[in-house]
Amino acid sequence: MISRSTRPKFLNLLLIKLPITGVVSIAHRISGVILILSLPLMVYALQLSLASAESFALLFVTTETIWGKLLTLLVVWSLLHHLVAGLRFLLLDLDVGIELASARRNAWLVLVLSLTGTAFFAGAWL
Amino acid sequence: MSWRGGGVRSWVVQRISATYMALFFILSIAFLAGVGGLDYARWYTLLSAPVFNVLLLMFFIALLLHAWVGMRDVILDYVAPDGIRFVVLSLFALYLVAIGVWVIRILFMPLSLI
Repeated sequence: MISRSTRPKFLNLLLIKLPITGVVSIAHRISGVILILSLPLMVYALQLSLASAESFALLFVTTETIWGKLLTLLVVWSLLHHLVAGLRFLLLDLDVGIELASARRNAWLVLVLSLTGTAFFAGAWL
Repeated sequence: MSWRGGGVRSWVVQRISATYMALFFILSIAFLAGVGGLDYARWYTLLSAPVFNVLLLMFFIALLLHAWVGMRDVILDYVAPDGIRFVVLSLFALYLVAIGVWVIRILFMPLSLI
């Protein structure tokens, strides 16, 4: 019997080397959870944007603070990644880009698109 | 393959809601970019327009269905004990219903009551 200390540990997250397609998959899950958790903030933002001209303006002031900026970027990345990775999954369902080589390539494309999109947003708005 | 038992229905709901949200989101962003120079008056008028109002409510319905199917999978993956699983799923369902009621209030209540 293998002693407790030498027993192989398969679920050490630091030792699992995910292929790029796996990275896109887990990022799709994480971004989805972030979007769900941010829902109350987003709905509150919608409420503020409609309630009055003052609260509409306040919304833009809030995104100027450092925490506002970080939160905005997090949500923007989550939104972009979830959208682009989701479109990729829809195409995979239709057997588009399903071959291993192309699946790896379009997985990279998803990561690059969502990150550059977030960077572009940061440059343009923040 | 059974429609309800094997999760086929959830699979279909997830893809239809995703397609609607993707289309609505991309077209809305393109439209807003086309309008340009968005101030409060224009934003308010736009969202009050019946067409946009209803399409936006449909977006949130799709979002809540999509969030339920997606998060249910996440919860079932990470929360194993039956009792805790039931509680967490119930709390999450309440969370989504509350969000839905809040959105309906915002979209359909007179401005003074928001």
